[in-house]
Amino acid sequence: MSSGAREDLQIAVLTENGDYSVSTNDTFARVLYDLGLKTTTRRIFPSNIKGAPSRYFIRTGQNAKMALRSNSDIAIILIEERAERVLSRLRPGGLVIYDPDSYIGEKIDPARDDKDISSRFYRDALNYRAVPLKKLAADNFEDYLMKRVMRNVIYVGFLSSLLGIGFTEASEGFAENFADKGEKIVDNNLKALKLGRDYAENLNSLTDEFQLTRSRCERDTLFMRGNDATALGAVMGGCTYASWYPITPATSHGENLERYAQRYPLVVEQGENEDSCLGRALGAAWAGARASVSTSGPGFSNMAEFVGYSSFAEIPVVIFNIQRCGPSTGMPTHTKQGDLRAALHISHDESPRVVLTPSTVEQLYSYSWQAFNIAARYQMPVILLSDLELGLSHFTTEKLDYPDEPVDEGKVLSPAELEELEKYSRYEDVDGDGVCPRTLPGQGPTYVTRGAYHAADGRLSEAPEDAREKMERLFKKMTTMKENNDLPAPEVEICNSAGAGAIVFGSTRYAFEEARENLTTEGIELSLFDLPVLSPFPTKELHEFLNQHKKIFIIEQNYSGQLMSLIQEKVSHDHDFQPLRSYDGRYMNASIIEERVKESLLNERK
Amino acid sequence: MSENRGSKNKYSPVDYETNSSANLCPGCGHALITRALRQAVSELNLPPEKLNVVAGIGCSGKTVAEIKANGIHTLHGCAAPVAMGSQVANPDQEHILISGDGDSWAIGSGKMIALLRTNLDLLYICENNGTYGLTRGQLSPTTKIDSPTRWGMVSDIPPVDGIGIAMVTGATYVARGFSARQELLVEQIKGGILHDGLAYLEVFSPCRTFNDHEGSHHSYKYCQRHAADFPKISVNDIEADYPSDSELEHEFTYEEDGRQFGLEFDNLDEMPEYDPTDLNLALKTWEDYWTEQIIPLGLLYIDESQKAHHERFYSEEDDYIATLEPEETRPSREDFSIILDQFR
Repeated sequence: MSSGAREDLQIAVLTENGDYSVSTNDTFARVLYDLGLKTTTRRIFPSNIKGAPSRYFIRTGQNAKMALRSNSDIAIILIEERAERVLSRLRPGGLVIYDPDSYIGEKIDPARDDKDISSRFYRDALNYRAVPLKKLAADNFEDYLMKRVMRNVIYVGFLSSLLGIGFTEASEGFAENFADKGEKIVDNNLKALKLGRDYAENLNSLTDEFQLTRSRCERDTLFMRGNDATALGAVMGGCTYASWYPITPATSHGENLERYAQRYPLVVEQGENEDSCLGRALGAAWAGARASVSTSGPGFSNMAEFVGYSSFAEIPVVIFNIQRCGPSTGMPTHTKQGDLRAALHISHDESPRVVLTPSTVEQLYSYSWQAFNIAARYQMPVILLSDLELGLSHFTTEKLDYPDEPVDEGKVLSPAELEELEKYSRYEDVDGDGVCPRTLPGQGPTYVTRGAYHAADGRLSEAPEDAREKMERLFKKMTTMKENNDLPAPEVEICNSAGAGAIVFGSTRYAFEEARENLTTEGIELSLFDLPVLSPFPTKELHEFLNQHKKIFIIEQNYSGQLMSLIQEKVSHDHDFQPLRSYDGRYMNASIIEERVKESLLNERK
Repeated sequence: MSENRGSKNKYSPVDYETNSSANLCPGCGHALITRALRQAVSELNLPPEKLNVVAGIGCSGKTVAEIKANGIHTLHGCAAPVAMGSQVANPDQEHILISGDGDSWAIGSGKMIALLRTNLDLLYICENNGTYGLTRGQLSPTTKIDSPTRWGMVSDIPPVDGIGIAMVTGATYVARGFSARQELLVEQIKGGILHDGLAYLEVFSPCRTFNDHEGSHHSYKYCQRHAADFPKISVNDIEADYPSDSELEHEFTYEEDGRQFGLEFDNLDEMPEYDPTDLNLALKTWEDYWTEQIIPLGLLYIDESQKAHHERFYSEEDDYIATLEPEETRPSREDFSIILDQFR
């Protein structure tokens, strides 16, 4: 075994859903981040509260990337269900930590005479280390719950020793994180950490190959989940009203806002269903608030009619859709990017809307606050598509900046401005940009805001010229916002020598970045086009990109190639497009991308 | 309605008329409700720009076109959430919601429950004609058993009891009106607007075109025949109406734009057994009438002791979110830095 100086390490924990290990693992990830290590987490978990197998991954190290790797270095195996799958994804030389007093322990304990080397859990290429987690917890803690929970903290104590983390470093993080749970809980955590650590230190033969390299450089980073970034973005966008209905994986966005509401001028309400949430948000926005809703697939479908209403009645609102795997109930706890077309077309007939597709934590934050200004300026719904992988995973990210543009309420006439006008008509396009000044109830002339066709003064009208004018003006806003550069610009990285490029959006960006770096070391260069917005579509920019590259990989997580068909519709049919898709609910990783890119390029050479 | 009142008021019912039409059929009960509403708001001296009228879809919702106010014509069954968002964002505005029986109790029933629970400070007017008029006379959730549609269709599914649900679910002002009894309706609307909480006013409002025929339980005749008196109220401007007797005791008093209003029961002495502040009694009495198909008209229940929904979100020194200046809605640089600390 080589002595370790690990710069990129991935740990997999296989456990039972609802065994309280998530908060322990979250805390451990935070400890690693606090040590200056780039750290990210992923959970693969079932739609279940207690009992079903659940996996938690931590990737950490000085040079760790922010995507999940296809294989891990260390596995903590606490249950047998899914154990084979986790073991099959350990790197050769990987370490399996298991509890000898478990079913799986009995099967693979090398110390036992009757060891079953033909066991499906036993692999030659792996190393096994028994740690009596249950027994240590049972012997050292009194009540039933603590015996169960502290088992998790004991393995963290063991791991911290394995990774070369000092006891103080680990215990400080745990003490801080559980401080609000009371002294007793903190004491228990520290005791359990020590038990795990002592167990490791007393072993003579514990490997040092997993010790992490640590740099002491100054850093200005943050550690947050995508749902933390979108919620913070909303607050910084000046959101004053938010409504939400609990749904995986959007719930933590709403819960974050509930916390902000205790300090900032923000009203957060849990609605009775998602279309009611959007209705409430639109009511608040009509009255003069800056409003948003957050949801995921099924809830998004539920909002359909109000999306069109928002666009047609011209009431600004921001809709956060943290996509999950659908259709229908789908796989609520698994990721997918299948709502592109839904976001573009949801609601009957046709109505303009903005669809933003942030792909990194920085973008999640900045697009979120920008979304409120865009919605206000163009008086329409702005749909921000995040996804489960971004929303629920922790990422180490560059520091976020205070918004560089002021809160903009768009064209809202004050009573004083109204007084200077000879005549006011709600839907009169005075300056020809498609956006008509609005007024707030109580501050000006009375009129009816409605989802029925109307003339410029807001009165009902079914006259063909009014109908034409309304549609033409609504869609004109989409051109105006492009001309005004009011939308986030695509992040484009061109490699001069590259004959090939890739178009990505959303969470796959992280996996792509890693793949791109790895491919470069093998002499394969790829340009990047990170698509920031689907509607209005950045046709010009993408056209330019296509012109510079013969082969284009389109990376997306849906079956039918929603992005590819959109590019074909908006930019070009005649191009060497290489679809790179996944739609099994699992996270994209660099290996998948590398393999597919190499395969495609090799075929070309043949 | 006393004659001397108009003189003190800045507004008359005409001031709430618009130059648009709801395109209702001649003789529509809903038009009479609109008339009573204009009368009521003028007596309360409410400026049109202070009124937010939130309407659902159907013949009832269309009437928003004929009321001079900040109107918002929403989606079918969805006026409740829009009103909730708007009222919470700016409780300084007076909120009135106009809906129908289908809009409230079929497509909007889930949202109704959610609204009634909150005790949102608004007047909910449910214009109940027992039919889907705008789609030409289908069965509605409030169509009574044995009450055929104009086309002869009969339902044997029991109707939704909106009044009963409202009382059980948390409305704190529950009244039943009849579009043909204007005086009563005006007082009921005034009381509902002044009430500090959710006022549910269900108005029996016959559809002349599709549900006023012989045999219908929603016709003018049927309602005239089955109506029974319940507590009647009058709402008065205390100074204007009792200049020499301002010590008079009122059942409830309210302040609106610096003016004092009092609410009184006119005929409680005729029903000594009844107490409109007793929920159990109100419910039981109502259910008895419901079973016997009697249509009581009046104020069935009132409770002024409950917290209005928006009070859950604001303390006394808070500004309402809709009234904030844009720059007040964003945390300062200092706060931003404090927020980021938890992620550092």
